[in-house]
Amino acid sequence: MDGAERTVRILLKEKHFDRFCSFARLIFVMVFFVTLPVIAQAEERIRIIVTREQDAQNWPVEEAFFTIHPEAEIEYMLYSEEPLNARLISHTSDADLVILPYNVMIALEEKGYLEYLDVAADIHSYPEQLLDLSRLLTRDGRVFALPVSLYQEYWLWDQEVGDALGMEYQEVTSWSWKDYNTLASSFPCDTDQDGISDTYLIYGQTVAAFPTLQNVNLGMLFQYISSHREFQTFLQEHLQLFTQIVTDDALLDMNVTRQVTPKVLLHRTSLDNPITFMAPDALKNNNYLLFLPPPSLPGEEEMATGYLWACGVLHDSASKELAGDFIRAMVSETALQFTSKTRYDQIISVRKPSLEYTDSLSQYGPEFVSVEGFPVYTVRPGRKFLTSAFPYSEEAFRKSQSFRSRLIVNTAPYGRDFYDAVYVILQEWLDKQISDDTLCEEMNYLLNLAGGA
Amino acid sequence: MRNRVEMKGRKGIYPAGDLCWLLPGLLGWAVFMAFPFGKTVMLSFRTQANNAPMFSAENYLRLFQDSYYLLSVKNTLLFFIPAISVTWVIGLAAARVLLWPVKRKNTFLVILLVPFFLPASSVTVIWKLIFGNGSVLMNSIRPNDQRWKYASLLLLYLWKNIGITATVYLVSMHAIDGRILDAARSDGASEYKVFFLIQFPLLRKATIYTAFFLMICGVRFFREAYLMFGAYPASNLFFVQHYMNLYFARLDYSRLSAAGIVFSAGILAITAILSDLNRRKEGDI
Repeated sequence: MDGAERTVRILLKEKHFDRFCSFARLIFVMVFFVTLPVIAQAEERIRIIVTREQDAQNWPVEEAFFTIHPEAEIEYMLYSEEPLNARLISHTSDADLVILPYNVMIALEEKGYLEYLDVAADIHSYPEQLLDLSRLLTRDGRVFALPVSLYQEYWLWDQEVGDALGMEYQEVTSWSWKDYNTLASSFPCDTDQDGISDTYLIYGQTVAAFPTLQNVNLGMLFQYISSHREFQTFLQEHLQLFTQIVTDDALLDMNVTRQVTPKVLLHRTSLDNPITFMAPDALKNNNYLLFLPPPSLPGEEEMATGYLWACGVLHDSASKELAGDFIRAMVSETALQFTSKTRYDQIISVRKPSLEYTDSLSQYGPEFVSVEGFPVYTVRPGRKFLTSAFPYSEEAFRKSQSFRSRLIVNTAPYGRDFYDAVYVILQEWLDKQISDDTLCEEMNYLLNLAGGA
Repeated sequence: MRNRVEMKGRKGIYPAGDLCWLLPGLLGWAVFMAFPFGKTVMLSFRTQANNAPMFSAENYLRLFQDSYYLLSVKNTLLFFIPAISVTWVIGLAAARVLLWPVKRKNTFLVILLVPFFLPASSVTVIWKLIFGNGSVLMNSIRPNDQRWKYASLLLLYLWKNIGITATVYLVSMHAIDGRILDAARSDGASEYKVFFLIQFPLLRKATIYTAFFLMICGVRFFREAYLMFGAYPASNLFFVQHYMNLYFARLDYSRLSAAGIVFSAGILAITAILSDLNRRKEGDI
């Protein structure tokens, strides 16, 4: 073998060696990627679908969950409605739990996307520790979701203004629009003395900017129509009152409200929890706001519309055990004794919480980052919160929760589009562009359409 | 022609050896068309409710009993039959006018074509500014019923599609042998007769093509309708796609599939009729 031949042989051997190395690298890469999901799955992680950023902020429940799973991670995935529907329909949501508005939860339950909690979390009846919303969250005695937060419509009575006017607040649990009109007629016409009549204290110039109509009266209409189903009947019985409500001179000019915040006797709000307007124990001697339920129509026992967000386990969940533990954490002692100062709408316990987290949102607020095109927020254990005593009295808590337990929610999948469509029709009717008959026809059409007729 | 003759004795259309070249296309068709469509058909026969039977025609039965579905079908027909017809007529007239030796006809054609290429979102913004509630036009004429919304949407459809229809007709008119028309004219035929008895019959293929095309534009026009009036439009503008969108929002995929299948069947039926018409006329010639 001469020198040249030996050199060629060595080079060939090296080539074989190179090929072997390349092959080994390939095998290693393949094995790595095949085992990667297995390694990733080995971590304790639950994925929760939310449709609003604030739903990814459940500090008491998260902390309770971390006491059971100190190594786990909670991943919140923020979806808008259409991608969520597409993912659910194609069973590619890759999530374990959902925190969604009640009307969506109902749709999920009806279509079999949710696991009943007796299977998922060993919860066989609606938990007694929570506000009794069992009529909303159970089917045939089986619980399919637990409440996470709820918002309630209510009206506020300013005690200070009332005292100045010599008007006495009367606590009612239920009252009619007729009662309300009687009360309103006894109001002085100009409580803030700006020269504009503000008996009803309603803001806005058009229907679209008409908070009372948007929230209270429209809620009232939906509630009424859900039982009567005929807008024609409603108009026959209540057209005069309805017209008065939407056209009365009590409509406070929007320009006025922009310039100054008028001191008004009675106004409405749809904020989270009435307890926020009650005086904490430390401020008991000050004047404060008292709340009233929105009036109801004749034949309706009570009227307390609002919005409920609930949490359920997805049927396709890959980590049902962890998901079940998260659900159990929602009713655990650890979670229920705490509340978050920034989220009183999340107080769903019957018993008054003893402590509240006082940290600001900027410290532990949800910060979503884009993962594969979707915003994801990961919560890990080890957070340190500042806490203080829950400042409200037992009585205030009881009153507030008793009011909130009478929650009536719309089950129809109303969205922003629906409300916009209703406002457009009402505005056209107010502008006399359409007749009473057309209003009836269009409202019946819309309400039945949204109600899933 | 020769190939066709050679093929006659064989069982298939293509030589067996060449079938492998069809495979990629066939595979694509199977994966992207046949499978999703088949799955949709399957889903349309299933109900999503718990404890429901595996297969039933309930979705179809409920669909045809649903007054909102029937309303949406009626509205779709009531909107698109006039919309397509009027676009046809105006497009044809515009093409005929553009055949005349007028100055700057290319500029005019471009102006007609521009709306077709504008994105739906920007077009609807312009339309809302002109015809929306609170616009100067609406405030000055103050229409007194819901029909105005129908008219504004119809106008949008015409504005978007007349240009492209005129272009198709114009190209087809240019393809007609000028000597035929000249011969007719020299035999004393009026322009009216030349158009209706010679040109128009020769535009048959263009007419059928524009019918298909305008139908497709009609299906896509839901974007504009949705952006203009949302998911809950006035009752006279509630189209089949609104209905399907509603059931998508409700996660009722079975009902959505049933509505989609019926809609597809309708489109297929119209396509078949138009194709058959074309074939028969070709036979006549």
